[in-house]
Amino acid sequence: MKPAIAFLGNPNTGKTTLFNALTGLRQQVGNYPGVTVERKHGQLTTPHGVVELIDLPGTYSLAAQSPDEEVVANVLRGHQKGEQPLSGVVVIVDASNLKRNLYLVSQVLEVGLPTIVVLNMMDIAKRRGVTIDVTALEKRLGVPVIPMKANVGGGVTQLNAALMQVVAGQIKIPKPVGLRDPETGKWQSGRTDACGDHPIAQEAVARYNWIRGVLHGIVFQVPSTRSHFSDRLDKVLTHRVWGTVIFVIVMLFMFQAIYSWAGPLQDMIDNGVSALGEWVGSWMPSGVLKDLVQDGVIGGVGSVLVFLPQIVFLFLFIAFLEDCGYMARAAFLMDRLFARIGLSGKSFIPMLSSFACAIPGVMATRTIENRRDRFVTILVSPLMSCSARLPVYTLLIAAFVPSVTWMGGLLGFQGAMLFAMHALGFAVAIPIVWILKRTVLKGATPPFVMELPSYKMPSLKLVGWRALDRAKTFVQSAGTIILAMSVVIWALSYFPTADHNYFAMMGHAIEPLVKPLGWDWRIGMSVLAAFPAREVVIAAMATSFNVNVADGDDSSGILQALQNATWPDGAPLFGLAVAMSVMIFFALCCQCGATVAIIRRETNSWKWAGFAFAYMTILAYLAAAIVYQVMAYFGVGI
Amino acid sequence: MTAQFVIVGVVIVGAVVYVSCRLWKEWRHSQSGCSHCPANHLNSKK
Ligand SMILES: Nc1nc2c(ncn2[C@@H]2O[C@H](COP(=O)(O)OP(=O)(O)OP(=O)(O)O)[C@@H](O)[C@H]2O)c(=O)[nH]1
Ligand SMILES: [Mg+2]
Repeated sequence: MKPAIAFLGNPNTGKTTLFNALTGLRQQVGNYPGVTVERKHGQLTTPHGVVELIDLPGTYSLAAQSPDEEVVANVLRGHQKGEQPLSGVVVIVDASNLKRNLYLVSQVLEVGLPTIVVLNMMDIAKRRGVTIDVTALEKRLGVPVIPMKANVGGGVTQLNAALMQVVAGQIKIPKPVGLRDPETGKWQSGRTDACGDHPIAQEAVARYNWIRGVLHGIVFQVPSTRSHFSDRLDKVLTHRVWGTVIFVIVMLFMFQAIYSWAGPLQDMIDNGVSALGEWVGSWMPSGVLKDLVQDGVIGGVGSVLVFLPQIVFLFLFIAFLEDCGYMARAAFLMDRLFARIGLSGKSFIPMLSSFACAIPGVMATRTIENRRDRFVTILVSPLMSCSARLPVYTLLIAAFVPSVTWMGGLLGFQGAMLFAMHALGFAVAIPIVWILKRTVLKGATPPFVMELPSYKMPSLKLVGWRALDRAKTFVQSAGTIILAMSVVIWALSYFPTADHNYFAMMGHAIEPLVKPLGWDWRIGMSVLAAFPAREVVIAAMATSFNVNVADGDDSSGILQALQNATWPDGAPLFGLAVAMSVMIFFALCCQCGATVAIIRRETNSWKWAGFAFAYMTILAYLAAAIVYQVMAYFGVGI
Repeated sequence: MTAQFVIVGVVIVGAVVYVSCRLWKEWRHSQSGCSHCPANHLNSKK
């Protein structure tokens, strides 16, 4: 059996960065606590054979409170199912914050495994004017201590050598810290006063006494001006008014940029798709096969694929904002708001992840200790606008919202609308949390201490990877589920005859249901077809509005098809009101099989998965209907 | 012409089977504790 070595440490200390550097994998890294929520395995090849490395979620202590921390304690003690006993542990500590980080170290030293301590973020410690006498620290802890700059790979060679020593059995099991009286088992905190009587308090006092002793005379701090600057920046960015204003401006700019920057690239892909359609049309004999290839495959998949640039830009922005440390400030800003509705800022991180995709978002709730709060967060996370909704918004906004821009194109009407659609899910989540916390998932507001990560120059490599990974997933889904659904929809709308097809028959049957939303059967069926995957709606609309890529020398086939679509009596089908009702439906509906599945798994109950699906679908329907009816009543955007 | 219909038929059946498999897989996935979620699969090449 391969020897296994686990990486653990406080949150956001660079465990995964180091793990990636050693294994060559690309697990997600981000500049906020709680990125890793599951244990991940990787392999390191050494001259002595292969070593299994395990990356663990961050934890402040081995007294597990949340599901992700439980995993850490179990792996360490060899109790985790499917996990072998460890040959050693690497504790990654943040060198700029040694005092707090050594708490976990003192606990790990008692587990009785060969241990290596990695002093990561040496660059930040230096920037903050912290110097550490590493040799002295090594002596006092009785284990190897390795200074590290994991983000640039500094110190990896030394760690490699130390890991090899672990494998070769050359690292002794550390002496226990000895904080308990061997006879009575009581904590030696040196305090007998009543308020410190509780064993947990006693333990904390004992451990911090030990830490003070260890660090005494070997850590020096000179006051630095840099940290003052970052403190001042934090004051502004987490300020109730200024922080919010800045957040809104950043978001407005981001969404407008998605429009302006992705536009030209989108046109290029669109032209490419049209050219491909024409080329295929030029040599294929006409018949059913040509129709399938042109309308079903190229028309369906192509219409979705043109949104690739937007997805890439969205992820570039999100990754950039996360890695420089700004998103953690946004979470802090939200804590006040969340406290009022009964959640803590800890719930904001999963919700933030859900803007990319609800699946990692739901998994990120594992950092929440309280089961009820965790469930509340799981239930509202899918309301956040994931990137699969982005193509739907961009298409409808481009078609029905005027493209007015201000300040030389930095801010604009369309970008503001896109921002509003993303804000909608969040705004709706607030009353829902409020209701849930007062009814089915009652409980007190949890306390929350958020550690603000330090500001960093974002790593271009990391940001690029995130966007690239996402692009890959998007193209993959276009080539698989979207392709398959496009073929199915094409077949339904082609047989038995083009005029009397199954798609239309089903559509006419459901039309009364979607009429209150201002939709005709084609929109209704397209939305229905999007339940396995949201992007399918575009392919479905492309098919049902009969966009033929081959005869479009105009590069915006589907856009114009939507603008020109009419009711049977010739009245225009789409207007701003219908576009709004479609977008709002998408914003609030749980149209994602994978999300329902992950909720089932994480809550371990179909009841909650069903509840999430049902409440979101009903909410989406009602909200879309109300918005459409109100707009229609006042004659706006009809 | 018949050949065309055969190909189209095969493609349609393939697509239907694929969609059903995907839904089935998701269902299975919700039952088990595996970490191979669609959004996570790039991460979990063990
Ligand atoms: N300046 C600096 N940044 C680092 C260093 N090591 C990691 N980082 C950055 O620190 C941030 C956190 O890194 P992660 O690897 O995600 O941290 P983690 O310990 O796995 O975090 P969790 O999974 O949330 O517990 C990222 O932005 C990294 O790029 C370092 O030595 N110096
Ligand atoms: Mg991590």
